[in-house]
Amino acid sequence: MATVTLKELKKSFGKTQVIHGIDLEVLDGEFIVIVGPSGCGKSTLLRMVAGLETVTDGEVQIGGERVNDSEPMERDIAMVFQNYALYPHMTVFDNMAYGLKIAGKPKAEIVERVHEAAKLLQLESYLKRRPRELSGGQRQRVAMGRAIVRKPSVFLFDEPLSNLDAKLRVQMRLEIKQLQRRLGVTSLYVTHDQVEAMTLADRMIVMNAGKADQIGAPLEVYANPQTQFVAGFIGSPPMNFLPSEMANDAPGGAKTLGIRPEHMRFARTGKEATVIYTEALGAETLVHVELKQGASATIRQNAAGPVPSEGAVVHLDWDAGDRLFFDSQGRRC
Amino acid sequence: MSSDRSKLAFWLLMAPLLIWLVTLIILPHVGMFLVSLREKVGVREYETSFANYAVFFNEPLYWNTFARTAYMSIASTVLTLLIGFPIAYYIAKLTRGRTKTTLFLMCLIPFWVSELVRTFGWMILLRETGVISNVLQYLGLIGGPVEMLYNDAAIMTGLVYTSMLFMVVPLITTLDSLDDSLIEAGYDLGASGFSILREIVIPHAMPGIVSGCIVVFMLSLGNYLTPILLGGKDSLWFTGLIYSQFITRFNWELGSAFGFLLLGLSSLIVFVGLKLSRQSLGKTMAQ
Repeated sequence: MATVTLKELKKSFGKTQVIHGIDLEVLDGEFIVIVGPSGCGKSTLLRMVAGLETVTDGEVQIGGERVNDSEPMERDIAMVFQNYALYPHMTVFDNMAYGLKIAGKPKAEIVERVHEAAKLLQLESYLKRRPRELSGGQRQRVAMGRAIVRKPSVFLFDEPLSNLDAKLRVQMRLEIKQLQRRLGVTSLYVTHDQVEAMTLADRMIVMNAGKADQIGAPLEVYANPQTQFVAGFIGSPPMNFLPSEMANDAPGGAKTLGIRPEHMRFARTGKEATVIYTEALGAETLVHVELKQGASATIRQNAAGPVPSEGAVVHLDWDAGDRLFFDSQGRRC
Repeated sequence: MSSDRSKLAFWLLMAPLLIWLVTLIILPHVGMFLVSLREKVGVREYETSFANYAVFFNEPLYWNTFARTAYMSIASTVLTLLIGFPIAYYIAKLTRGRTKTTLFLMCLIPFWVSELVRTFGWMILLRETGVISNVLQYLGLIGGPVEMLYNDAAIMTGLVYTSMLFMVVPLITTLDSLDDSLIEAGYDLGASGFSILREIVIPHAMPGIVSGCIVVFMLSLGNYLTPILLGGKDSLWFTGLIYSQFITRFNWELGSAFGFLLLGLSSLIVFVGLKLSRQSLGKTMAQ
């Protein structure tokens, strides 16, 4: 168990700076999810903590100690890779035991720890198989097992679920969360999937072009996004952005008005819009409309409610308290 | 009807390969084997016996040369692997894009000229009045001209140089398919660079290593030009003996027997090599 601290962490590849100074304090046992679109630097950030990328500037601390120049093995971390990185020529047992074997642990202890982890992950009957004889979900478990047996103080996950199909992803997501709760190990988890971020995180970091736009608890980030980017990235369907002139009482400097799809409703009066098409998802229906001013919006409508037909002219309304305003830089105002 | 047709198509497609195999490989070998079993007892009088093979085992020069050829070929294979592996690793893992293509092409360039020209190139460098000798004299490092040709080191240099590409190409192919994250996971799990090489990189590259070694070994064993030109008269290469039996001494019977012994030797060594590395021929050739 350990804390992880990042101080003004920066990374450049040649002349291109990809991480522009990130500060973060991870508490002992906390589950932190780093989320952002591809190319935002989230994987690079994780790899700097892992010791697989050098630190250009700033500091990485694990358990209060500066580890900038330590080898990955000296950092007491264990990483789970996106493609699992299992060794094809080794059995599941050998894959899980590899780290312990290198550390020179006695054989009896290795066997005991691998079996313990295998039991936890329901892999006991697969220990003699090779990775290619396993399904995607089982390989994923082996990769986690390999990290667990080492009893590290920090787990690092690099998009561990992105190679699984949708159903399995939901299941593994729950398993990872339960496992982390049970073991209480500090975890950093990188993903581009905002649903994963919302469900797994104690706190999440939303990254945008090498900067941390916002750090906070998932629901706090959802309800109170600090930038237009965060507002648009977290939440599905994304927040509707309209020109701020549509509100009479917009604060000075405001350029964009943001309203979540579930906060828009059909009314007798209000902004006039034309229905472009509707998507019935069962429990809810998404209605895509085009406003007179040329902006488009999505309304999340309970499926029990009335659904306007395509091409119909409707009126939209929302509560003043649900509005968010952003300036021309995309910052809240 | 349709199955007859597809059968016909199959045989037609196979025909060029079969004709090639039968007329150029199998028939000559059968003929050579029959010739090797003939013992000359008088003018145009032959008897079937293993006398030619007996000659080989009774004459120390022959089997000494045979053993020397085998061990020199193995040595050149090992040397090629030791030099080729870092090169292949560098090209496959540490370079990208254009640099990678350029380096790969640079490995290919020597093969645009014929083997003869390449070997003469080495002769120009190594001979007594050659480039290296002259440069060393000019620098005052040696007193008089030095002959670097016509020894085992010269043969070895030529063999390694000639077969390097055939080692590097299969190695690059297998190393390319090694996911970088496997190496990173090794570091993450606390392995040192050496144990990653031994336990992760080499096991993964094994099919490439074995197929490269087979090709290089066969090429060295069957090489005629390089040992003769760089090793001179005393090169004692087995293909040289076969040549002299056929061409100089018109003793086709003994030459054929030698040829078969060489075939047997190379098959045996490749078989042992595959067993030792626990690879199968099929797996290796699928590379």
